[in-house]
Amino acid sequence: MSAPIPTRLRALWHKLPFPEMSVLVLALFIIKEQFPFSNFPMYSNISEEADVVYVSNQNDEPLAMKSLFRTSSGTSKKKFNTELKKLTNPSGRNSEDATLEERQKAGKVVLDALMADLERKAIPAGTVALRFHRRTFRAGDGGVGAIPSEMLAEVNL
Amino acid sequence: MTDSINTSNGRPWWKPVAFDWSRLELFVMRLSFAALAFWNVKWETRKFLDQPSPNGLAHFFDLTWLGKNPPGMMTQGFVIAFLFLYVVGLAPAVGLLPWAFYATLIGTLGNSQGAINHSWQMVTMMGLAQMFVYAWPRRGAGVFLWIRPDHERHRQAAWAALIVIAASYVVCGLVKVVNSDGMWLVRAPWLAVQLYKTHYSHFYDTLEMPPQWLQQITETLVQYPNLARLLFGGGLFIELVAFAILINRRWALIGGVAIIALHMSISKIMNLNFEAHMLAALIYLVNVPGIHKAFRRS
Repeated sequence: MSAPIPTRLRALWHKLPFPEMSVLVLALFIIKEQFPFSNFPMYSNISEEADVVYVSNQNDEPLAMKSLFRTSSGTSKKKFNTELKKLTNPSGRNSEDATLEERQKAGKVVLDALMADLERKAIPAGTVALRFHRRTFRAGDGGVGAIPSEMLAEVNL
Repeated sequence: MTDSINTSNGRPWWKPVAFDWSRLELFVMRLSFAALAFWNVKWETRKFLDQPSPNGLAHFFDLTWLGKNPPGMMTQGFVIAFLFLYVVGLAPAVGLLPWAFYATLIGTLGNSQGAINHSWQMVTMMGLAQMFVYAWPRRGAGVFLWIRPDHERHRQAAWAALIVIAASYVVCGLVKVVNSDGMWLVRAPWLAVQLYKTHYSHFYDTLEMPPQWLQQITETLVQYPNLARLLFGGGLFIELVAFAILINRRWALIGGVAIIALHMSISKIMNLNFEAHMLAALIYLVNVPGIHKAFRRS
Protein backbone atom coordinates (compact mmCIF):
# COMPACT_ATOMS: atom_id res chain seq x y z
CA MET A 1 0.00 0.00 0.00
CA SER A 2 1.37 3.43 -0.88
CA ALA A 3 2.00 6.07 1.80
CA PRO A 4 -0.80 8.53 2.62
CA ILE A 5 -0.82 11.81 0.69
CA PRO A 6 0.38 14.03 3.61
CA THR A 7 3.38 11.74 4.12
CA ARG A 8 4.19 11.81 0.41
CA LEU A 9 3.84 15.60 0.34
CA ARG A 10 6.16 15.89 3.34
CA ALA A 11 8.70 13.66 1.62
CA LEU A 12 8.45 15.78 -1.53
CA TRP A 13 8.90 18.94 0.53
CA HIS A 14 12.11 17.54 2.04
CA LYS A 15 13.45 16.64 -1.40
CA LEU A 16 12.55 19.97 -3.02
CA PRO A 17 15.42 22.48 -3.35
CA PHE A 18 14.63 25.90 -1.85
CA PRO A 19 11.15 24.53 -0.99
CA GLU A 20 9.37 27.75 0.10
CA MET A 21 10.76 29.69 -2.84
CA SER A 22 10.01 26.89 -5.32
CA VAL A 23 6.38 26.72 -4.18
CA LEU A 24 6.07 30.50 -4.47
CA VAL A 25 7.61 30.45 -7.97
CA LEU A 26 5.09 27.81 -9.01
CA ALA A 27 2.21 29.78 -7.48
CA LEU A 28 3.25 33.03 -9.20
CA PHE A 29 3.70 31.19 -12.47
CA ILE A 30 0.15 29.80 -12.26
CA ILE A 31 -1.62 32.86 -10.83
CA LYS A 32 0.01 35.21 -13.37
CA GLU A 33 -1.21 38.83 -13.22
CA GLN A 34 -3.59 39.16 -10.28
CA PHE A 35 -2.40 41.95 -8.01
CA PRO A 36 -0.47 41.71 -5.71
CA PHE A 37 0.77 38.60 -7.47
CA SER A 38 2.59 38.68 -10.77
CA ASN A 39 4.76 36.45 -12.92
CA PHE A 40 6.55 39.60 -14.16
CA PRO A 41 6.19 38.83 -17.88
CA MET A 42 7.81 42.03 -19.14
CA TYR A 43 9.67 41.40 -22.40
CA SER A 44 9.09 37.66 -22.07
CA ASN A 45 7.77 37.27 -25.59
CA ILE A 46 10.07 39.29 -27.78
CA SER A 47 8.82 40.03 -31.23
CA GLU A 48 10.66 41.35 -34.26
CA GLU A 49 8.13 44.16 -34.20
CA ALA A 50 7.43 46.80 -31.57
CA ASP A 51 4.96 49.62 -31.73
CA VAL A 52 4.42 52.92 -29.97
CA VAL A 53 1.37 55.12 -29.80
CA TYR A 54 1.34 58.89 -29.79
CA VAL A 55 -0.93 61.88 -30.12
CA SER A 56 -0.54 64.59 -32.75
CA ASN A 57 -2.31 67.73 -33.85
CA GLN A 58 -4.44 67.98 -37.00
CA ASN A 59 -1.25 68.22 -39.11
CA ASP A 60 0.16 64.96 -37.69
CA GLU A 61 2.81 66.85 -35.71
CA PRO A 62 3.46 64.95 -32.44
CA LEU A 63 2.46 66.58 -29.14
CA ALA A 64 4.13 65.91 -25.77
CA MET A 65 1.83 63.36 -24.09
CA LYS A 66 3.15 63.85 -20.56
CA SER A 67 2.37 67.55 -20.44
CA LEU A 68 -0.89 67.13 -22.34
CA PHE A 69 -2.40 64.17 -20.44
CA ARG A 70 -0.04 63.54 -17.47
CA THR A 71 0.36 60.01 -18.77
CA SER A 72 2.93 58.34 -20.95
CA SER A 73 2.96 56.84 -24.39
CA GLY A 74 3.92 53.53 -22.74
CA THR A 75 0.87 53.47 -20.46
CA SER A 76 -1.40 54.42 -23.37
CA LYS A 77 0.12 51.62 -25.41
CA LYS A 78 -0.69 49.09 -22.66
CA LYS A 79 -4.28 50.36 -22.58
CA PHE A 80 -4.46 50.16 -26.37
CA ASN A 81 -3.30 46.52 -26.24
CA THR A 82 -5.83 45.71 -23.51
CA GLU A 83 -8.65 47.18 -25.63
CA LEU A 84 -7.40 45.31 -28.67
CA LYS A 85 -7.42 42.02 -26.74
CA LYS A 86 -11.01 42.68 -25.66
CA LEU A 87 -11.97 42.94 -29.33
CA THR A 88 -9.97 40.02 -30.72
CA ASN A 89 -9.83 37.42 -27.94
CA PRO A 90 -13.57 36.53 -27.95
CA SER A 91 -13.15 35.22 -31.50
CA GLY A 92 -10.04 33.28 -30.51
CA ARG A 93 -7.65 35.59 -32.35
CA ASN A 94 -4.43 37.15 -31.17
CA SER A 95 -4.42 40.95 -30.83
CA GLU A 96 -1.56 41.01 -33.35
CA ASP A 97 -4.07 39.80 -35.94
CA ALA A 98 -6.49 42.68 -35.29
CA THR A 99 -8.08 44.30 -38.32
CA LEU A 100 -7.71 48.01 -39.07
CA GLU A 101 -11.30 48.53 -37.94
CA GLU A 102 -10.53 46.88 -34.58
CA ARG A 103 -7.39 48.94 -34.15
CA GLN A 104 -9.43 52.06 -34.87
CA LYS A 105 -12.02 51.05 -32.26
CA ALA A 106 -9.32 50.42 -29.65
CA GLY A 107 -7.62 53.70 -30.57
CA LYS A 108 -10.90 55.59 -30.14
CA VAL A 109 -11.40 54.11 -26.65
CA VAL A 110 -7.87 55.11 -25.58
CA LEU A 111 -8.11 58.59 -27.08
CA ASP A 112 -11.47 59.16 -25.33
CA ALA A 113 -9.89 58.06 -22.04
CA LEU A 114 -6.96 60.42 -22.64
CA MET A 115 -9.35 63.30 -23.34
CA ALA A 116 -10.78 62.90 -19.84
CA ASP A 117 -7.36 63.84 -18.46
CA LEU A 118 -6.59 66.56 -21.01
CA GLU A 119 -4.73 69.57 -19.60
CA ARG A 120 -6.34 72.30 -21.71
CA LYS A 121 -3.68 74.84 -20.73
CA ALA A 122 -1.00 72.61 -22.26
CA ILE A 123 -2.61 72.51 -25.72
CA PRO A 124 -0.33 74.35 -28.18
CA ALA A 125 -1.88 77.36 -29.92
CA GLY A 126 -3.48 76.56 -33.25
CA THR A 127 -4.38 72.98 -32.31
CA VAL A 128 -7.95 72.27 -33.39
CA ALA A 129 -7.90 68.45 -33.31
CA LEU A 130 -6.03 65.62 -31.64
CA ARG A 131 -5.13 62.45 -33.47
CA PHE A 132 -4.14 59.07 -32.02
CA HIS A 133 -1.43 57.22 -33.98
CA ARG A 134 0.37 53.89 -33.88
CA ARG A 135 3.91 53.55 -35.22
CA THR A 136 5.60 50.19 -35.71
CA PHE A 137 9.31 49.35 -35.82
CA ARG A 138 10.50 46.11 -37.36
CA ALA A 139 13.85 44.28 -37.21
CA GLY A 140 15.19 43.29 -40.58
CA ASP A 141 18.45 42.24 -42.20
CA GLY A 142 19.54 45.84 -42.64
CA GLY A 143 18.71 46.88 -39.06
CA VAL A 144 15.57 48.36 -37.62
CA GLY A 145 13.09 50.07 -39.91
CA ALA A 146 9.92 52.02 -39.20
CA ILE A 147 6.60 51.37 -40.89
CA PRO A 148 4.65 54.59 -41.64
CA SER A 149 2.40 55.69 -38.77
CA GLU A 150 -1.23 54.66 -38.74
CA MET A 151 -3.79 57.26 -37.66
CA LEU A 152 -6.45 55.44 -35.63
CA ALA A 153 -8.69 58.05 -34.05
CA GLU A 154 -9.35 61.78 -34.05
CA VAL A 155 -11.27 64.25 -31.89
CA ASN A 156 -12.00 67.88 -32.62
CA LEU A 157 -11.31 70.33 -29.83
CA MET B 1 24.04 30.68 13.26
CA THR B 2 22.96 31.06 9.76
CA ASP B 3 25.82 31.17 7.45
CA SER B 4 27.18 28.32 9.43
CA ILE B 5 23.81 26.63 9.33
CA ASN B 6 23.57 27.14 5.59
CA THR B 7 27.04 26.00 4.76
CA SER B 8 28.76 23.91 7.33
CA ASN B 9 26.49 22.00 9.66
CA GLY B 10 25.61 19.37 7.12
CA ARG B 11 22.64 21.20 5.65
CA PRO B 12 22.92 21.26 1.86
CA TRP B 13 23.23 24.66 0.19
CA TRP B 14 19.90 24.14 -1.54
CA LYS B 15 18.12 23.80 1.83
CA PRO B 16 18.99 27.17 3.37
CA VAL B 17 17.47 28.67 6.50
CA ALA B 18 17.17 32.25 7.72
CA PHE B 19 20.47 34.13 8.09
CA ASP B 20 21.84 35.10 11.52
CA TRP B 21 20.72 38.71 11.31
CA SER B 22 21.36 40.70 14.48
CA ARG B 23 18.70 42.77 16.27
CA LEU B 24 20.22 45.93 14.79
CA GLU B 25 20.17 44.57 11.25
CA LEU B 26 16.56 43.46 11.62
CA PHE B 27 15.55 46.83 13.07
CA VAL B 28 17.20 48.70 10.18
CA MET B 29 15.45 46.34 7.75
CA ARG B 30 12.05 47.02 9.31
CA LEU B 31 12.65 50.77 9.44
CA SER B 32 13.82 50.94 5.83
CA PHE B 33 11.12 48.59 4.59
CA ALA B 34 8.39 50.60 6.33
CA ALA B 35 9.56 53.73 4.48
CA LEU B 36 9.80 51.85 1.18
CA ALA B 37 6.41 50.19 1.65
CA PHE B 38 4.67 53.49 2.41
CA TRP B 39 6.36 55.23 -0.55
CA ASN B 40 5.49 52.31 -2.84
CA VAL B 41 1.74 52.91 -2.41
CA LYS B 42 0.44 55.29 -5.07
CA TRP B 43 -1.78 57.33 -2.77
CA GLU B 44 -2.97 59.66 -5.53
CA THR B 45 -6.02 57.67 -6.60
CA ARG B 46 -8.15 60.57 -7.81
CA LYS B 47 -7.98 59.59 -11.48
CA PHE B 48 -9.11 56.01 -10.88
CA LEU B 49 -12.85 56.60 -11.14
CA ASP B 50 -13.59 53.29 -12.82
CA GLN B 51 -11.99 49.89 -13.26
CA PRO B 52 -12.34 49.11 -16.99
CA SER B 53 -10.06 46.04 -16.90
CA PRO B 54 -10.55 44.43 -13.46
CA ASN B 55 -7.53 42.72 -11.96
CA GLY B 56 -7.20 40.63 -8.79
CA LEU B 57 -9.76 41.56 -6.14
CA ALA B 58 -11.37 44.03 -8.57
CA HIS B 59 -12.95 40.98 -10.25
CA PHE B 60 -15.09 40.64 -7.11
CA PHE B 61 -15.28 44.13 -5.58
CA ASP B 62 -15.84 47.63 -6.86
CA LEU B 63 -12.77 49.52 -5.63
CA THR B 64 -13.60 52.84 -7.29
CA TRP B 65 -14.58 54.26 -3.89
CA LEU B 66 -10.82 54.73 -3.46
CA GLY B 67 -10.80 56.98 -6.52
CA LYS B 68 -13.85 58.91 -5.36
CA ASN B 69 -12.49 59.24 -1.80
CA PRO B 70 -8.68 59.32 -2.13
CA PRO B 71 -6.90 58.45 1.13
CA GLY B 72 -6.00 61.84 2.63
CA MET B 73 -3.33 62.95 5.07
CA MET B 74 -5.33 61.59 8.01
CA THR B 75 -5.51 58.08 6.53
CA GLN B 76 -1.87 58.16 5.51
CA GLY B 77 -0.92 59.33 9.00
CA PHE B 78 -2.92 56.43 10.43
CA VAL B 79 -1.01 53.98 8.20
CA ILE B 80 2.33 55.53 9.26
CA ALA B 81 1.38 55.26 12.95
CA PHE B 82 0.67 51.56 12.53
CA LEU B 83 3.87 51.05 10.52
CA PHE B 84 5.69 52.51 13.52
CA LEU B 85 4.42 49.52 15.54
CA TYR B 86 5.92 47.21 12.93
CA VAL B 87 9.25 49.06 13.07
CA VAL B 88 9.54 48.83 16.86
CA GLY B 89 8.36 45.23 16.81
CA LEU B 90 5.15 45.69 18.75
CA ALA B 91 2.28 43.59 17.32
CA PRO B 92 3.89 43.91 13.86
CA ALA B 93 1.15 41.92 12.14
CA VAL B 94 -1.36 44.57 13.27
CA GLY B 95 1.14 47.29 12.42
CA LEU B 96 1.33 46.09 8.81
CA LEU B 97 -2.43 45.58 8.44
CA PRO B 98 -3.60 49.10 7.40
CA TRP B 99 -0.68 49.40 4.98
CA ALA B 100 -1.46 45.95 3.53
CA PHE B 101 -5.09 46.98 3.09
CA TYR B 102 -4.32 50.16 1.16
CA ALA B 103 -1.30 48.77 -0.72
CA THR B 104 -3.32 45.82 -2.00
CA LEU B 105 -6.48 47.74 -2.88
CA ILE B 106 -4.80 50.78 -4.43
CA GLY B 107 -2.41 48.56 -6.40
CA THR B 108 -5.35 46.46 -7.58
CA LEU B 109 -7.34 49.52 -8.64
CA GLY B 110 -4.31 51.04 -10.38
CA ASN B 111 -3.70 47.81 -12.26
CA SER B 112 -7.38 47.63 -13.24
CA GLN B 113 -7.05 50.63 -15.58
CA GLY B 114 -5.96 48.53 -18.55
CA ALA B 115 -2.21 48.94 -18.08
CA ILE B 116 -0.39 46.64 -15.66
CA ASN B 117 2.41 48.32 -13.73
CA HIS B 118 5.05 45.89 -12.46
CA SER B 119 6.87 48.02 -9.92
CA TRP B 120 4.38 47.62 -7.05
CA GLN B 121 3.86 43.85 -6.71
CA MET B 122 7.13 42.67 -5.21
CA VAL B 123 7.19 45.13 -2.32
CA THR B 124 3.50 44.46 -1.62
CA MET B 125 4.15 40.70 -1.55
CA MET B 126 7.16 41.24 0.74
CA GLY B 127 4.99 43.12 3.23
CA LEU B 128 2.17 40.58 3.04
CA ALA B 129 4.63 37.72 3.55
CA GLN B 130 6.04 39.38 6.67
CA MET B 131 2.54 40.06 8.00
CA PHE B 132 1.69 36.41 7.44
CA VAL B 133 4.80 35.25 9.34
CA TYR B 134 4.11 37.58 12.28
CA ALA B 135 0.46 36.46 12.44
CA TRP B 136 1.26 32.75 12.19
CA PRO B 137 0.56 31.08 15.57
CA ARG B 138 3.29 29.05 17.28
CA ARG B 139 2.16 26.12 19.37
CA GLY B 140 2.33 26.92 23.10
CA ALA B 141 3.65 30.43 22.54
CA GLY B 142 0.43 32.22 23.42
CA VAL B 143 -0.59 35.74 22.51
CA PHE B 144 2.61 37.29 23.86
CA LEU B 145 4.65 36.15 20.85
CA TRP B 146 2.08 37.81 18.63
CA ILE B 147 2.30 41.10 20.55
CA ARG B 148 6.02 41.04 21.21
CA PRO B 149 7.68 38.67 18.70
CA ASP B 150 11.02 37.17 19.68
CA HIS B 151 14.22 37.50 17.69
CA GLU B 152 13.53 34.24 15.85
CA ARG B 153 10.15 35.51 14.61
CA HIS B 154 11.73 38.73 13.30
CA ARG B 155 14.36 36.62 11.56
CA GLN B 156 11.70 34.50 9.90
CA ALA B 157 9.81 37.61 8.76
CA ALA B 158 12.94 39.01 7.09
CA TRP B 159 13.61 35.58 5.59
CA ALA B 160 10.09 35.60 4.09
CA ALA B 161 10.90 38.93 2.42
CA LEU B 162 14.06 37.40 0.96
CA ILE B 163 12.12 34.42 -0.37
CA VAL B 164 9.69 36.79 -2.13
CA ILE B 165 12.60 38.65 -3.78
CA ALA B 166 14.18 35.38 -4.96
CA ALA B 167 10.87 33.97 -6.25
CA SER B 168 9.99 37.18 -8.08
CA TYR B 169 13.20 37.18 -10.08
CA VAL B 170 13.26 33.44 -10.74
CA VAL B 171 9.67 33.44 -12.04
CA CYS B 172 10.47 36.49 -14.17
CA GLY B 173 13.33 34.59 -15.83
CA LEU B 174 11.32 31.39 -16.09
CA VAL B 175 8.43 33.15 -17.83
CA LYS B 176 10.86 34.55 -20.39
CA VAL B 177 12.08 31.04 -21.20
CA VAL B 178 8.58 29.51 -21.28
CA ASN B 179 6.76 32.29 -23.17
CA SER B 180 9.42 32.32 -25.87
CA ASP B 181 9.39 28.49 -26.23
CA GLY B 182 12.98 28.47 -25.02
CA MET B 183 14.04 30.88 -27.78
CA TRP B 184 14.48 34.00 -25.64
CA LEU B 185 18.25 34.13 -25.98
CA VAL B 186 18.07 33.46 -29.72
CA ARG B 187 15.55 36.28 -30.13
CA ALA B 188 17.32 38.62 -27.70
CA PRO B 189 18.74 40.80 -30.52
CA TRP B 190 15.15 41.75 -31.32
CA LEU B 191 15.18 43.61 -28.02
CA ALA B 192 17.01 46.30 -29.98
CA VAL B 193 13.62 46.97 -31.62
CA GLN B 194 12.22 47.41 -28.13
CA LEU B 195 14.98 49.95 -27.47
CA TYR B 196 13.86 51.90 -30.53
CA LYS B 197 10.33 51.73 -29.18
CA THR B 198 11.53 53.01 -25.81
CA HIS B 199 13.41 55.91 -27.43
CA TYR B 200 10.36 56.95 -29.41
CA SER B 201 8.05 56.48 -26.42
CA HIS B 202 10.28 58.94 -24.60
CA PHE B 203 10.17 61.26 -27.61
CA TYR B 204 6.37 61.17 -27.79
CA ASP B 205 6.18 61.82 -24.03
CA THR B 206 8.46 64.85 -24.06
CA LEU B 207 9.30 65.70 -27.72
CA GLU B 208 12.97 65.23 -26.81
CA MET B 209 15.04 62.42 -28.29
CA PRO B 210 17.22 60.43 -25.88
CA PRO B 211 20.95 61.30 -25.73
CA GLN B 212 23.16 60.44 -28.68
CA TRP B 213 25.19 57.84 -26.74
CA LEU B 214 22.01 55.87 -26.04
CA GLN B 215 21.04 55.88 -29.69
CA GLN B 216 24.59 54.75 -30.49
CA ILE B 217 24.26 51.80 -28.09
CA THR B 218 21.03 50.78 -29.78
CA GLU B 219 22.67 50.93 -33.22
CA THR B 220 25.59 48.83 -31.96
CA LEU B 221 23.24 46.17 -30.57
CA VAL B 222 21.40 46.07 -33.89
CA GLN B 223 24.67 45.59 -35.77
CA TYR B 224 26.11 42.97 -33.39
CA PRO B 225 23.37 40.45 -32.44
CA ASN B 226 25.73 38.31 -30.36
CA LEU B 227 26.66 41.31 -28.26
CA ALA B 228 22.94 41.83 -27.67
CA ARG B 229 22.62 38.16 -26.67
CA LEU B 230 25.52 38.52 -24.25
CA LEU B 231 24.14 41.70 -22.69
CA PHE B 232 20.49 40.68 -22.40
CA GLY B 233 21.44 37.07 -21.63
CA GLY B 234 23.36 38.37 -18.61
CA GLY B 235 20.13 39.88 -17.31
CA LEU B 236 18.24 36.64 -17.86
CA PHE B 237 20.99 34.73 -16.05
CA ILE B 238 20.74 37.01 -13.00
CA GLU B 239 16.98 36.39 -12.89
CA LEU B 240 17.17 32.62 -13.30
CA VAL B 241 19.83 32.15 -10.61
CA ALA B 242 18.24 34.59 -8.15
CA PHE B 243 17.57 31.62 -5.82
CA ALA B 244 21.27 31.91 -4.93
CA ILE B 245 20.53 34.94 -2.73
CA LEU B 246 19.10 32.46 -0.20
CA ILE B 247 22.28 30.40 0.13
CA ASN B 248 24.15 32.66 2.52
CA ARG B 249 25.02 36.28 3.24
CA ARG B 250 27.77 36.42 0.67
CA TRP B 251 25.50 35.20 -2.12
CA ALA B 252 22.81 37.60 -0.95
CA LEU B 253 25.27 40.48 -1.25
CA ILE B 254 26.49 39.36 -4.69
CA GLY B 255 22.89 38.87 -5.85
CA GLY B 256 21.83 42.21 -4.41
CA VAL B 257 24.59 44.09 -6.19
CA ALA B 258 23.83 42.21 -9.43
CA ILE B 259 20.10 43.00 -9.19
CA ILE B 260 20.78 46.69 -8.51
CA ALA B 261 23.25 46.83 -11.42
CA LEU B 262 20.70 45.10 -13.66
CA HIS B 263 17.99 47.62 -12.83
CA MET B 264 20.36 50.57 -13.16
CA SER B 265 21.37 49.48 -16.66
CA ILE B 266 17.73 48.82 -17.65
CA SER B 267 16.85 52.24 -16.29
CA LYS B 268 19.59 53.92 -18.37
CA ILE B 269 19.06 51.98 -21.58
CA MET B 270 15.32 51.30 -21.60
CA ASN B 271 14.01 54.07 -19.37
CA LEU B 272 12.18 51.46 -17.25
CA ASN B 273 12.62 52.40 -13.63
CA PHE B 274 12.27 49.89 -10.82
CA GLU B 275 13.46 51.95 -7.87
CA ALA B 276 11.37 49.93 -5.41
CA HIS B 277 13.09 46.71 -6.50
CA MET B 278 16.53 48.31 -6.18
CA LEU B 279 15.72 49.62 -2.71
CA ALA B 280 14.35 46.23 -1.64
CA ALA B 281 17.61 44.61 -2.81
CA LEU B 282 19.61 47.26 -1.00
CA ILE B 283 17.70 46.75 2.26
CA TYR B 284 17.54 42.96 2.38
CA LEU B 285 20.38 41.70 0.17
CA VAL B 286 23.13 44.29 0.38
CA ASN B 287 22.05 44.85 4.00
CA VAL B 288 24.48 47.68 4.76
CA PRO B 289 24.65 47.20 8.59
CA GLY B 290 25.66 43.54 8.10
CA ILE B 291 27.80 43.90 4.98
CA HIS B 292 31.03 43.04 6.85
CA LYS B 293 29.54 39.68 7.90
CA ALA B 294 29.25 38.68 4.23
CA PHE B 295 33.05 38.57 4.02
CA ARG B 296 33.73 36.54 7.14
CA ARG B 297 34.77 32.90 6.93
CA SER B 298 31.91 30.49 7.59
